[in-house]
Amino acid sequence: MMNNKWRYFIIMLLGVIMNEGLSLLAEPYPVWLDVSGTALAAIVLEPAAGLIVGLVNNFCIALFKYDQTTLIYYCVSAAVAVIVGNIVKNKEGKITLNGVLLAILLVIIVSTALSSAITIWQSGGVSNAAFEQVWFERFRARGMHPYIACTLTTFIIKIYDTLATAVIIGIVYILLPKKLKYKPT
Amino acid sequence: MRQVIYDVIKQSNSNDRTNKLYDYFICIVAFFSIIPLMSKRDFEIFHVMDTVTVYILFADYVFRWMTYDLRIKKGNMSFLLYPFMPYSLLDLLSLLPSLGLVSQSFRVLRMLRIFKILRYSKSFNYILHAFEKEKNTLSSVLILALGYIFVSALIMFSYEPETFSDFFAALYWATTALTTVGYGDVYPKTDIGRLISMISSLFGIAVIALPAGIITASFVDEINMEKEAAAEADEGSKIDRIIEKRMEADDDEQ
Repeated sequence: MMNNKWRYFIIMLLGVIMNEGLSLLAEPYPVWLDVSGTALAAIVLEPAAGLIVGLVNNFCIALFKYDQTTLIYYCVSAAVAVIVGNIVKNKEGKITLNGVLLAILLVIIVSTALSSAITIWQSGGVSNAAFEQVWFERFRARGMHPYIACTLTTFIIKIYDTLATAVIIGIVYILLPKKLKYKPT
Repeated sequence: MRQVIYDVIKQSNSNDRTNKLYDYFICIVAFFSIIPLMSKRDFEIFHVMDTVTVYILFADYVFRWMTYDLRIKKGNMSFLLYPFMPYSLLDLLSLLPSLGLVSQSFRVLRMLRIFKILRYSKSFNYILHAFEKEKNTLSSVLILALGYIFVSALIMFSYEPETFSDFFAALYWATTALTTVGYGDVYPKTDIGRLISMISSLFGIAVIALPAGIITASFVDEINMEKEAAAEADEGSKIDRIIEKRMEADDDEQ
């Protein structure tokens, strides 16, 4: 039987690799996919594990992709870990469809609110990402206020980013060996 | 998992090696993070230093937040309370300039990271307790001192309006004179003005010196209380050891 510490280590490492790998693979496409590992660790282990995976992910993004000012986006990862880790499973520890749907909805709303608030605070609504700028400019061309344009842009991207992330987590969860999925007795 | 993190990061009063190491590590990181503020020139190494230390201090902030319920035992409410605790507010404020959430003109907020080091200092905690214990007295003395400065400035301003450009200059004079700083850039020129200055300074020193006396007395009290508590604990452990020895002796006799 696998030691629980090793189980934590493997799942968290897998979470970090998923976050980094998928966000790298998604670079040519208009999605982030950078919280998939965070959510997986929060579901399989506990929200705290997701919080740590998210922290590592944000450090990597801040170090290798952007700079330390992007560290504050950690609160989006943290919100995802807390929501997913507490809602997806019921009290008996089983994943429910209602839980999954509610978590998807909450993640879209909360992460949109947090991301757009940070972007507006830091840069008046203009994102670093090129694919976000495309949507942003489209909304601005229609005469929208930058703050509203930023929020709508984030909302649209979060919808398909969260759905894509949910599908990926579902596939990884199904493929995950039982000894990693469940706590050893 | 949170329990493991909490066991490492909690402020150590015992001789736990991991706690102590973590405490020292955070103190060193906090110290290095304020070094760039000591230089006028903008070296590349300072950017690296700031980046690395911000990552570590940010992680420390997150760890403390996610384990706060284990510290204050108030369930989920703890997570809502944590950002509003004085030390966590200081931590967050000190990180804001590096996180790009406030303009670089507020980079001096980084100086607040010094409180990360100070919170591990026993003396600093004594002073904090002294302030906490005497807050009512200190508030009264502060109001008295402010009132005294205001009245002195008002009297001087009405007797020598030509000496001061406006009332704020008179307030500035009163504050620097009563705190015995006296830069000498503003001073009374008439004999009556000088007399007022002499009288107000004599009484003013007494008013200004009051808080120092109150805090010193309370600080000494705190140290004495700590010593007494330590002596009682020592006495208690001695008695426990004597009882244990007697019980062992009784067991041997039986």
